[in-house]
Amino acid sequence: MYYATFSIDKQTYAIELGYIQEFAETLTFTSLPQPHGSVIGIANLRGLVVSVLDLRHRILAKFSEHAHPQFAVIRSAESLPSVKMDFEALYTSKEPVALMIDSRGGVLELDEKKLQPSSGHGSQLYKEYVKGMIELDHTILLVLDITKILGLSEIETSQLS
Amino acid sequence: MSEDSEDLLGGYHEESVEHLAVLEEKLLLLEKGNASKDDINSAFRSIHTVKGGSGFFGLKTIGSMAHVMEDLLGQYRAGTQEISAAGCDALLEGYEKLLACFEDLSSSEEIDISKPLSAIKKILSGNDAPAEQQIQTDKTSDSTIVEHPFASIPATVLPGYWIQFNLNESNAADIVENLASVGEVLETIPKVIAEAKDKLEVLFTTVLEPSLLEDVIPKPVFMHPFENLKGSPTQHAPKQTNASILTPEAVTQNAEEEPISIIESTPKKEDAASNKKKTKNNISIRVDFDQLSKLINLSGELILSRNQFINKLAGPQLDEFIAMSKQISELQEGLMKTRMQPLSVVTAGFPRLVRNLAKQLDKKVELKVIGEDIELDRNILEGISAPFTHILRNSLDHGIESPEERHKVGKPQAGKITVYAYQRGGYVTIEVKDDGKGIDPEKIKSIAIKKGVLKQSEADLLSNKQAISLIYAPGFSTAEKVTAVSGRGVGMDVVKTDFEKLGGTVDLDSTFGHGTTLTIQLPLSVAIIQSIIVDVAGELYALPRNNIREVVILDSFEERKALEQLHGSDVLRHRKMLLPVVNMGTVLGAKRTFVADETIIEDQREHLADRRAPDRREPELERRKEQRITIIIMNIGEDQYGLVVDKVSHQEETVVKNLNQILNQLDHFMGVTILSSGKVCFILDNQGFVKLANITFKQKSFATNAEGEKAAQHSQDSAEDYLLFESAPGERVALLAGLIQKAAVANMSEVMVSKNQKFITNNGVDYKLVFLHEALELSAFECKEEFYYVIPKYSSIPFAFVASKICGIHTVSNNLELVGVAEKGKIGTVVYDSKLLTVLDLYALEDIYFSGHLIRSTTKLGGVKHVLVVEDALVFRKILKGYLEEMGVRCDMAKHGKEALGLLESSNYDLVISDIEMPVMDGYELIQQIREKEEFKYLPVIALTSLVSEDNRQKGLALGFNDYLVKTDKKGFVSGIYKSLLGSESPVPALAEIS
Repeated sequence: MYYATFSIDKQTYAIELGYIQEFAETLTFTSLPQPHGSVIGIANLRGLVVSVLDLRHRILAKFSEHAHPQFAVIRSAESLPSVKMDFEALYTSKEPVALMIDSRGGVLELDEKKLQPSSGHGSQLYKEYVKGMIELDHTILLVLDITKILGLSEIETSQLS
Repeated sequence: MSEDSEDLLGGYHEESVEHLAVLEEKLLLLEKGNASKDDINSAFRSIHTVKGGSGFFGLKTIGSMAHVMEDLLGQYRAGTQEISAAGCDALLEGYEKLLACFEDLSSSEEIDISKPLSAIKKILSGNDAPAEQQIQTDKTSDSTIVEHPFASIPATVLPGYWIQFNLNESNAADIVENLASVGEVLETIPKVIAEAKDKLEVLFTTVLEPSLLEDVIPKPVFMHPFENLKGSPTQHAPKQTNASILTPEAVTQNAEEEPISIIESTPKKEDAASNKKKTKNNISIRVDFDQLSKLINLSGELILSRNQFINKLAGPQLDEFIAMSKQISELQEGLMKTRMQPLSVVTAGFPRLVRNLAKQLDKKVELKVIGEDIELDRNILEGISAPFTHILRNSLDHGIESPEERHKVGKPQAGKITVYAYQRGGYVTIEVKDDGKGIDPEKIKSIAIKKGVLKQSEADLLSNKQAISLIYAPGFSTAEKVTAVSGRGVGMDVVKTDFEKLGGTVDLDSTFGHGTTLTIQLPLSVAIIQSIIVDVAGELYALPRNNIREVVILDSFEERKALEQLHGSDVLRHRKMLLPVVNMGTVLGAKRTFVADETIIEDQREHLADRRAPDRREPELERRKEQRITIIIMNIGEDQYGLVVDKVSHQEETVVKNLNQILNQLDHFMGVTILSSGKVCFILDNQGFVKLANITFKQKSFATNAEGEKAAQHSQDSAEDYLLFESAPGERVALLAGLIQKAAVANMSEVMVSKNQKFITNNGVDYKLVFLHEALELSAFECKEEFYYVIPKYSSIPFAFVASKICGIHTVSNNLELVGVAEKGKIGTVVYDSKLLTVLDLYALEDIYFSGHLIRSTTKLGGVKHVLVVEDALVFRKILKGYLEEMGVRCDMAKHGKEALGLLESSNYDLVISDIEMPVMDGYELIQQIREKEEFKYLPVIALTSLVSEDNRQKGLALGFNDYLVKTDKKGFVSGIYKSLLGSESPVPALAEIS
C-alpha cells in the first residue's frame, strides 16, 4: 500500500496515496474572517473553489503559523470511485479539499500489518485520527485515517442538522 | 430491462401529470358552465389516456377512478347526461384523488377513492349502468371459445387478439400499418393485404389495452382475445384482471354508447403528442434537468475564465477577442433562459385553490391571472409557490368579505382577486390585488401594542403605511382565532423572507374598506449578479449590487459629524433619517481597521463616532491622518442600514458559486465567486449578515425615524433640549439642558442655613439655594419637606435653583413664539404643550443673584458700535444681544454664515461674532469667505463656539478668526468681546475677583 508523507510541526505523517489528488506548493487562498472549525478559508484550484482546512488545527487543535505552508489536496469522491469515499465527509463529495501542511515528503510503500498502536507518542494528538505508527529509519511515522480527519464527528453532525 | 420499464413508468407519470393539468382546467370551465364541446372532448381524452396507461402498469386505483370519470365525461360529451354541480364536484374530487395517486405512484393503491367513485357511479346509474354491464360481459365472454380461420394461434407473451375489420370505409393497408405501429401483426387474412376486398382479419399482439386500440384503428367488427380462441396455447385468464378491461363485446357496446367517434385527431398526432409538450406556439423537448444544470454551471465557469483572460489582453489581441467574449456572454444568457419557465407553472394551481377555499369559507370569489406567460428562473418559481399560496389564503380568509357583508357595503357579491405579472428591466413585478375589506391600521396598531411589539407613544407616531407594515413582525396575526385556512401566525414575515431569499422585495398597500394590494418584485435570474467589491480588514468581499442603495464617503470633519451615537450604538444621520451603522469587519469577526492616508491601521475605538485620541507621540502622523470613512447604505426590506468598509475596490459582474457544504452554516455568506484577478472572495448574504450583526429595525426604525425627524429639524431649525421644571407648583420654567450640571432631590433636613441664606451640600460642594421668584415675576413658594434643586454648570459661585417638581428634558423648537413681557433673567415666555413656559436666561440670573457681576461695567465704549452676531440658536442670540445692548452696542443677527454674508454686504460692522456649528454655512466656511474679500481683510471677526478642542481653535485661528472664544467660559468670552470691541488689551474692572 502506497502512502504519501508530509510533515507538520516536525512530525511526519502519512495518508494513503489513493486519496491524494496532488500536492501544491503554494495556493493563494482567501481567509474566512473567522475560522469555521478547522476551515480557514477557500482557494481557487484551477477554477474550482475548494475549502482550505488547517490540518494542524484538526489534529493538534492549534492553528498553523507556518510562513510558507504547503497543501495536500484530497480528491473528491466522484473523481476516483475505486477509492472508498463512502463516509460522510465534511466537504461535499463533489469537491476536493485542500489540507494545509508544513511541507511534503515522498511516497513510501508500507505494510499495513506492521502498524503499531500509537499510544504514548504524540500525546496531544487526537487519537481517533491516527491509524497507527510505524518506525522507519529511527523516525516515527504516524499514519493518519483520512476517513476520520475528513469525516464527521458526532458533534459536527448535530451542528450541521 | 428494469431500467426500461422505469423509464416507461416515468414517462407515463410525466405525461399523466400533464393530462391531469389539462383535465383540471377543463373541469373548472365545466363547473362554471363555460365549457365548449371541444373542452369536454379535451377533458375526456385526457382522462382516457390516463386510464389507458394505468392498466398497463397495473395501477388499479387510478384505473378505477379514471374509468368512472371517463364514463361520466363521455356522457356529458354525448349529451346523454345533464351537466350538474354534483357531477362537476365529484369529477373534481376524483381529479384530486388522481393527483394524490400520482404524487407517489408506489402508494397509489392505498388512496381511498370511495367517495368520488360512488358519487360518480350514482350519477351514472341515473342512466343505465354501463359500468356494471361491462363487468358482467367480461365474465361471460371469458368462457366463450371461438372458432377461428387461422392455422394456429401462437403462444404469446403479450395479449393477442383476432380482429375482423369491415373495409367499407377504411383501407386495409392503413389498418395494418397502424396496427403494426402499436404491436405485432402475426397473420392477416388475406395474406397479401392489397388483395383484401371487404374484410380483413388480423392476428395481432400488443401491449396496448383494447380500448386504446380504438384510437389507432377503425371500429372492428369484433375483437376476440387469444384466450377465447380454440386451440390457443394461452388459454388462461388474462393477466390484466382490471375491471376496466373491455372485451370485444364490451368494446362494441361502448362504441355504441358513444356516437361521437373518439378518433378525432389522427392517431399519429396523438402518439407524437405523448412525447411533446403542447405549448402555445413552440415545439419543446424534454431534457434531463441535471444535464442542463451542468451546462449552465459550465457556462458560468466560462464567464469567469473569460473575465480572467480578458484582463490579460490588450490592443489588437483584445479587439479580436471581443467578438468571442460577446458570444460567451450570449451563450451563458441563452443557457440561463432554458431554465426559465412561465409563471403559469405556479399560477396554474391558483384557480382550483381559490375555488376550494371560497367554497370552504362560503364566499364568492373570482380570480383573474394576467401575464402568466412571463418567464422566470425555475429556482425562483419553486421558491414563490408557497408564499403565493399563503397570500391567496390570507386574501380569501381575511380580505374578501362574505357575500352578505359585501352586499351591505355596496360591493358586488363576488370578490375579485387579480394576479397581475409584468416585467420591467431586470425585474418581474407581480401584483396580487383584492377588493376585500383591506387592512385597518388602527386594528394593527392595537394588536401590536397588545403583543408588546410597540408602545402606545410609538404607535401614535406611525403613518398608516408603517402601521400596516407591522404585519411583518414574526408571529403577528390579526385573526381573532386560528382558522383552518390561515391565522396560524406563521404569517407575513415568512412570506416576506421567502421572497427576500430569492432576491426579491415585498410591498404591502391597503386601503381600509377597499382592498389590499401586495406588490412583489423578483429578479429575473439568480446566478450572475453585479457586485461591488469592498476591502475589509485586508480581504475582499462582494456585495450584491441590488442590496446597495448608495455609497457615502465621509471625508471631512464636518461630514463625519453625521456619525453619532444613540443608545450606545453608532448611527448615521442621512437624508433626514437615522440609520444604524455597523462595521463589516467587526461583525464578521475580522480585526477592525481604518484607512488613514492610504494605510490601514488597526482601529481601537469603541464607537465610530468617537474622536480618536490624538497620538501625541506622532504629531506629524496625526495631522496627516485622513479619517475617511466609507459607508455603504444597504437596503434590507423596507429599512436601511449603513455598512462601514475600509474602502470600495471596484465593481464586477460575478458568477455566484455555491458555498462548499462545509461552510453552509455561515448564513452571512450566500456564495463565493472568483474575481477577475483570480482571487476567490465571499459574497455577502444581506439577510444573514443583518442577523449576525444583530441589527434590529422593527421598533427602532420607527422610533429613530421620528427621532430622526426631530434631529433633522434640529439641524435646520435649531431645536434645543431644555430641562423643564416647576418653581412654584404649576409654574413651569425651562433652562437649556446643556447648561445644567445636575438636578437632585433633597429633604428640608439637609438644608443648612447661614446668614439668612440656605445651602445644600452635594458631592462635597456647598450650593446656595436660590428661588426663582427672587429674581423674576413668579409666584413665591416655600419648600416642602421634599424638594428638588437644579445645579447649573460653569457658575462662578456654586448655586442651585429650588424647584417643586422636575418635568424632564424636552426638545423645544427654537421657533418660539415669545409672548409676554421681556424681563431680565428670562428670555421670554412661550406656550409649550398647552402651558406657559418661562425660558430662563442663566447668565442674567446669575447676575441678578450675585451682584459683583461682569456685565455692569463702567467702561464706556467710544461711539456706538455696530456688531453682527452670527448664531443659529435663538436663545444664545438673545443672550448675546442682551449683553451687547448692555454694553451699549447696536447689534444685528444672522442665523448662519450665508445670512451673515448678506448682511455684511449691506452694512458696516465693527465686529462680527460668529458661532461655528451652524446649518447652511458654518463658521469655518464663513471666515474663509470673509477673508477672501479685500474689504474685509481686517474686519475683526471672533469665534464664539462650544467647540472646545485645541484642534478646532487652531483651525479657527488659522482660517482667519481674530479670536476664538468658548461659550462655556462666560468670563472669558465676555471679556473677549470687550477686547475686540475696544481693540486693545483693556482691563474690565468688573473682572476683579469674585468672591
